[in-house]
Amino acid sequence: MKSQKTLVNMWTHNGASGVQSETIDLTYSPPRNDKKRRRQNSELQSVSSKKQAQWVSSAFGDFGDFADVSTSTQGQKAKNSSRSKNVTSKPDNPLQQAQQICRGAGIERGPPKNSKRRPQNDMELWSDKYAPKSQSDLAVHKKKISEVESWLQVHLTAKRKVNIIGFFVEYYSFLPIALLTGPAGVGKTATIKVLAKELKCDIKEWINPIATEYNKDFQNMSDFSKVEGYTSESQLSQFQQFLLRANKYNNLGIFGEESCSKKLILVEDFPNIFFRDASLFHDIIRKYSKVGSCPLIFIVSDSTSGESNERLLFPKDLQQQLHIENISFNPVALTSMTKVLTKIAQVESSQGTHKFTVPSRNVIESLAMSSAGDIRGAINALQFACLKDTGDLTWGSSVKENKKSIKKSSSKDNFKGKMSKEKSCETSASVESDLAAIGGRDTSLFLFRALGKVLYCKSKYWTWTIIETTYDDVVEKSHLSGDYFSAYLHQNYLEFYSELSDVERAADYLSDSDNLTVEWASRSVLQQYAAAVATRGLIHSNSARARFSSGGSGLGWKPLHKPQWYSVMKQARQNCDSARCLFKNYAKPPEVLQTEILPYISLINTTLHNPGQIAFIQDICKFSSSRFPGRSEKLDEKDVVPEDSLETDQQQQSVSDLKKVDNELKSDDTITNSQSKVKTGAEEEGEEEEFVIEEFDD
Amino acid sequence: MSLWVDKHRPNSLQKLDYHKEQASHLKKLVNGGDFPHLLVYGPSGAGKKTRIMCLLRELYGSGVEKLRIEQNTFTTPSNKKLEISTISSNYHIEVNPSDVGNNDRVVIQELIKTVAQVNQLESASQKDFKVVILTEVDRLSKDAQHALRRTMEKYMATCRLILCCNSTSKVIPAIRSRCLGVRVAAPTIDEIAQILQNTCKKESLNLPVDLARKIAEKSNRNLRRALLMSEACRVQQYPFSPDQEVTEPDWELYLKETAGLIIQQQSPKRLLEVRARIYELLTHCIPPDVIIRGLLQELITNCDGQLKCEVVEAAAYYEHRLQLGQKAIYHLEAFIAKFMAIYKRFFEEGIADLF
Repeated sequence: MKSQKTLVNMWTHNGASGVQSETIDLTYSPPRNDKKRRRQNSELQSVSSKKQAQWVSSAFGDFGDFADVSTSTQGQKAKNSSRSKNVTSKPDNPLQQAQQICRGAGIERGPPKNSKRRPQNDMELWSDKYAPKSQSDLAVHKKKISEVESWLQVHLTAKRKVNIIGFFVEYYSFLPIALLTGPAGVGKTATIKVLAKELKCDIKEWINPIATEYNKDFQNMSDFSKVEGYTSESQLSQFQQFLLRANKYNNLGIFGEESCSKKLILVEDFPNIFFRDASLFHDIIRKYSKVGSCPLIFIVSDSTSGESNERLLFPKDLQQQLHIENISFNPVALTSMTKVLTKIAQVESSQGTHKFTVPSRNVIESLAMSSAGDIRGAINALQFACLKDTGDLTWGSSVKENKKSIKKSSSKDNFKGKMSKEKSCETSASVESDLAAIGGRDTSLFLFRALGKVLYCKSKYWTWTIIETTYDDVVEKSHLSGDYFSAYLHQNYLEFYSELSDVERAADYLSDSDNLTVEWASRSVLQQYAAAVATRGLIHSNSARARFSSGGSGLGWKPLHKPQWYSVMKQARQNCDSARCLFKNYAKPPEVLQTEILPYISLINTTLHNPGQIAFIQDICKFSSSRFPGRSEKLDEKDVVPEDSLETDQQQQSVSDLKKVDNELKSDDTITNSQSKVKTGAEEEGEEEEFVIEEFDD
Repeated sequence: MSLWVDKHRPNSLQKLDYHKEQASHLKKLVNGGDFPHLLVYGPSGAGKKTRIMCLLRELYGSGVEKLRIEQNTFTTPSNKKLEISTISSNYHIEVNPSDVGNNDRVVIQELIKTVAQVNQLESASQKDFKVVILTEVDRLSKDAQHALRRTMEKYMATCRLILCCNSTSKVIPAIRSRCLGVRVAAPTIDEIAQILQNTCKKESLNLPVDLARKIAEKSNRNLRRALLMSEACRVQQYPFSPDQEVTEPDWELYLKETAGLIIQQQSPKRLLEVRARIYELLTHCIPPDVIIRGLLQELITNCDGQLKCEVVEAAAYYEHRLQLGQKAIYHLEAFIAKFMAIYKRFFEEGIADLF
């Protein structure tokens, strides 16, 4: 652990003394020793992952590490950020430089201004070194940039003014708030920083303060409040203060930078308390939206596991209420990523401290692909790959050897839906480990894809064995409990069936799967089996699909839905509870109350005195007049499934529909791909180009 | 204005309309001095609760009719707060422990303990025990039932339990053997019709005999339903006409409509539509077992003799699973799919035989 920590130091520390000895550490090890090298890899990865964890908007509350890094790098900075005034006053403020280096999700940046202070050494991460300087450097898609830019332009120039007399010069009825979402490392922060620079406006960024320590003993607890300098503020109030101050005051201009009138507040690092109680955050934002005038930008990274922070912090009703503009970023396109990587490699090989040959195009491409659109990860992987003592690692050769298969499987794994390892099962295992060695991303399946994999599956006798091995994997990778996964399957399976006898069998399998988890004590163990029964049952009982497969064309695209069961049950529970509370004086068992008393009360027109009772009776005894009540919320491609994801995405519907069409193309694509032979390189190119287009709706 | 059901509820053992012999037995039991724990069981709407209240009145006099509703709070060992409402008088307390789900054990133990620890005031003039009424005992968890067993013996001196449930099959034998079982059978159709007419007379309405019979038949021998139905009929149309439609609650109509849809067409698409309707029913607090029973009753009317057996078997199979399992919709849907398949197969065979 200690070495890891020093490594962290090493990576963030810019050329201070004492680093050299540790650098030797790295290059020291005998290059032939495979085991050791593997460990090095993992160490390096853990370093980069740690850095990523820091970047990904502190969703993990990994405070200790962050504290470690920053306190050891610059005590001054730590002190500074421990106060509430940790405002990034200007990008080239020397104090903030370090912060920026820590978080630049950048692509390209020239040598820093005060580079004379820092001896040229390659301990700097390339992703920081080459952070983008101008719009043209950004690897983000042009349209996305212009979308953000126009938003910024509109809201920076327009002042929110309410004139007392009644003349509104420029008046926005709401405070501009933007929410940038997207996977980690696609350049959300970089885009904002670059654009802010170009539009000449200040970014005031919130960074979680490090908790102040009490070095005073608590003897004088009684006059605690009087002790100066040791009053602690909660992160919450600090955050509130920050918003207020950043909104109110301009830069002092102490560091000689010209103070500009335009500014925006950036929050990427949410105080941890908000993840526990999002309503606090909502309150603050609502409050701010009333008093504030300065545009507010939030950046939230997508995550595949656990609760989605976006849903937690920005529920749809809040977004609508405050008119929050939601701009979602897509993974960086393969072509632009390759371009950037090549450029960096060339610059670095000619100017860098140590010599290396520019990696071949194939290598760069495979790097780009394995990073799954995470450009920061890709650059870090490139840097690692170009280290002089890792040049002879086996991955290079294996990449060349299996070039085709890597291309196929990785593009599938990461871009197209991470689908179907049916084809190259035996190669993909080795390929996967190779990619992992050069910093590939964990290939977790988005739920959407996992479902598609089961529902669109064509059970063919010759893929039998492969199905047997892969489908437990699917459930596992979808990050869901088997229980929940089968609920998703249940919600969606009917549309994929055309024969009633198949449905009968499938429904029976689902019933079986639920029956397996009857015993509470053994539920956790049996859940996996239950999910397996459900998945396989659904795949195998669909005889129609099997027939389709020979023809090659699947049934058309079907939108996927979220399971209604949970929301229905929640609603039912709520109704039961309110029935019990409201009609307490009838003192009947719930079943009698709900099936007999209440319906008849509504028929009898009993005079009820409580308005709540009246409303409830009307609500509960009305059945929707339409013959078939509507269906549930559709499932978004990127959706991660929190237990309480019951908010509706009405406005996103259209967008997600588009996405789904895309995805359908993709998934169909993949399925056919898996059957067809390996394509030639040229075809491959064409296909990837096509992809880019699909991805961004050009 | 309270419902007829509550308004005209008999309040003493003498006034009960049916099972009069049983009522006199109960009276003897009270007067005999040695009052055991009781387990009152019988179908819904047969008058179990009415009988219990009459019994209490016999025990304590009119004091038991001064009821108050209280909200009690209990804390589980894991520090979870449980809220449960109880109905009590000075002499008894009534609670439905299944309201708190899995934590019913805590409620039972704590509640009985608190009741039993306080002795009856003026025990000279009154009975020296209090009564705890537990409703829906068949929904208690096994855990709670076992806890109950011990508690029943321990506090025998100061408190008696009256357990109330629909069926004893879900009550553990240990509890059954500790109680005197009192079965309250559902009233016959004649009895119901008679009661309806009496009630209407009290309301100074004139209910034709035919309509009373019709309502009684429709009510499934559930007196509460019958009374509610007749009151609904009164709202719908008065003066009554013998051939008037008996009003049914919306959810039943909805369920019947759903069954109709299943009969009409058998396809995955239809199943999907039916599922949406079942979700609708579930959100309206109709329990899944009621849904499956209702569906079966409707579907079976459209089946031939040989089919009936198969369909009922499937229904029983899935109903059992539904009771055990967590996701009722799986089993409901499996049953409907099964029915559709059976029904369709039957028809196809029938058509094949024709040609």
